[in-house]
Amino acid sequence: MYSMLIKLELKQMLRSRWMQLVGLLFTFVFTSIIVIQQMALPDVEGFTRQTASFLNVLLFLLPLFILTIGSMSIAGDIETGWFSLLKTYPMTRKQYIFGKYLATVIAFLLIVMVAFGVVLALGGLLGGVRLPFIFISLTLLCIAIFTSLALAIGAVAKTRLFALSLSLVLWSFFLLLLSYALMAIGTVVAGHILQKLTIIVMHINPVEWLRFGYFIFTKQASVLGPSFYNVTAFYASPLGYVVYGLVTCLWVALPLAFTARRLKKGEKR
Amino acid sequence: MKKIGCVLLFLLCISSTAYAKFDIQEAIDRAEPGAVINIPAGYYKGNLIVTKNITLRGEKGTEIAAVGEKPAIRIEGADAVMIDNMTLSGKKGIVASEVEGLALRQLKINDVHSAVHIQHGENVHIQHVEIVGTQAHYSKKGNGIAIYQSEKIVVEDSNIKHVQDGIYVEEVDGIVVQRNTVENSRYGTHFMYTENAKALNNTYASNVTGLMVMMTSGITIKDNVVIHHNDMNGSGALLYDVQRADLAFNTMKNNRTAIALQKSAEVQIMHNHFQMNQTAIEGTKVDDQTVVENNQFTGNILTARSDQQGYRLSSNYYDDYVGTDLKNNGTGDVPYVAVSSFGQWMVQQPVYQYFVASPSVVLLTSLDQQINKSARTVLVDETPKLMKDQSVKKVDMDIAQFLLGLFFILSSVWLWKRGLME
Repeated sequence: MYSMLIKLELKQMLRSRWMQLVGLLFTFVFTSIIVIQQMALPDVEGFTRQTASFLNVLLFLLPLFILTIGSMSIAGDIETGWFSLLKTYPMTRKQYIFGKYLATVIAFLLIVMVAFGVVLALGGLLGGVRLPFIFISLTLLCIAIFTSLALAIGAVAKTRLFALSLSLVLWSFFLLLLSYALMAIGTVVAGHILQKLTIIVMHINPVEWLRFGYFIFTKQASVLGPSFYNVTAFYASPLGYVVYGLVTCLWVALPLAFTARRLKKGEKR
Repeated sequence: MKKIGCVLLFLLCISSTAYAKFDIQEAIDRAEPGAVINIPAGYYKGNLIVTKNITLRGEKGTEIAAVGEKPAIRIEGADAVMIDNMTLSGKKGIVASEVEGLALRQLKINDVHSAVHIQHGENVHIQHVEIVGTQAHYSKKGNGIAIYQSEKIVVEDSNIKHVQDGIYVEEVDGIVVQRNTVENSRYGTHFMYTENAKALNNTYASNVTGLMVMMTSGITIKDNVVIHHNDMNGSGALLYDVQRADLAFNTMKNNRTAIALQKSAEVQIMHNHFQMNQTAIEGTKVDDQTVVENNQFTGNILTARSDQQGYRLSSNYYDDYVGTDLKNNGTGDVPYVAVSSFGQWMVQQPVYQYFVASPSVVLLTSLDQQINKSARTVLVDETPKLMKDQSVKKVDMDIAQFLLGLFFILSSVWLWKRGLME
């Protein structure tokens, strides 16, 4: 029953026109930016404009698509009564959530596989375009975390339209608003306070968390500046790696737990 | 007995240190002024003292190891001394004071705390010196070549690595540092209180800062390659309290900040290539005579940042310039605005560096460029160049990568279809 649910969810996900369009759009934008940047600029190790573009395309597009599609998927189930129907089958809530989670993750893995494939193939033809391993890893983490968050949003929203708007709000909050708020606060508070606030935000904002992970795992934490020497030094240590892994797991587990709780609450009502 | 014999034979074989019998100090003491002392190949231990006009010339395999804190060779109050073709080791290599006409050539100085130290020297010529310091923190190392209160100095064709400062220059009038390579050290070349200095054709790579110039007037920095200075506080070149500096035809690549100007005046930055730096030029408290002209900026995250005073940008090529050239004269029709709110904040509050090239900052910078084009008075290039020396990037087809990409595309499409069918 459980594997049937995953297959069914995956099938629905892949059949969705929205998903197919997103796949095309992501592949097109991702490939164009990466290929143009890498062809136009000299090949240099380290954090450069081209690696920044790579990272930003990933952080801009992927969370947006995952949050909207993932949240609407679960909200749609609730809205259409599909979730109520599923409950009549011998299947637990956890199985439903994990099924949904796995199906969404697999669907997005297929999309990025196409995009990476196109980048690699074009890179092979044109030369000078590479796909660093760290970006592949970061993409997988991004899918894992944001799918989990998408399900939580869907569980809160209950209607597809509300899920869409909530996803957009949360996406802009993580991508832009939180950073702008911090920058604005920085104009009125002392540097050391801003530094501490930034470290907190780094942990509570998954976009910043992934970006921070990129700098840590590529050993380019110096990009973040001397103000963050202690925190980067910690995360660059073996213990830091473990803590990074734990926090990342929490970013996946907590929204899923929250989703289960929300659905249970909904059932009771 | 046979076993003992074998052990002794083995010990004899692995013992590489064979002390030579030639007494160099005695030869120096006996030598007439102007004499050339040829030192036979061999390993010598001691602390030589030279106080007269002589040449010490080693053979291939001549090594002098310093004992204790004293240098391997001390030169005091002598004119026209040459040290040529030998290896030095120990804590200190050469210490020279009150010398005129000193030449150091073809030297290898390994595992030293400080390699060459010259004080009150005149007409000193150092060339083809290979210096390798120790693997320790910069604070626990000495300098490669250190020159104090001297004049008319040339340091050329030397390779230095793993020291505190590759070439340290303090209170020197007239020095040329050329064709040297300094790597993995704190500062590549460090000028302090110096006048009439030239740094030409050097390569500085992977130091904390390539060129550190402080309280110096009249310096030319030309044709150098300055790459990979990415440490927390690193820069390609940092000029602090410098008057009259010319930086021309340098390649500054992959540095945290390519050129940082602080409290400096009359600095000319011309015909340099700035590639893939996090910030190309940063200026604080820079006078209005400072000009950045005819440079090429490619792939830098931030082109320029400054305090309110700014500095003058003129006729540079910027790869992110989006203006047109309807007059077809090679100059953009609208000014290039290098200033960005984020860049200015970063100067005022270093904590902001955390956000460098983050999604929010990228969007902010794009908006900045749209909104503030006419309002800015600093960091605006009224005559941006549109053409640059075009070099065609070599295209190397990678069949394996192409096939891998194709495999990814086909397999994901197949999986997608399979997902739909089941």
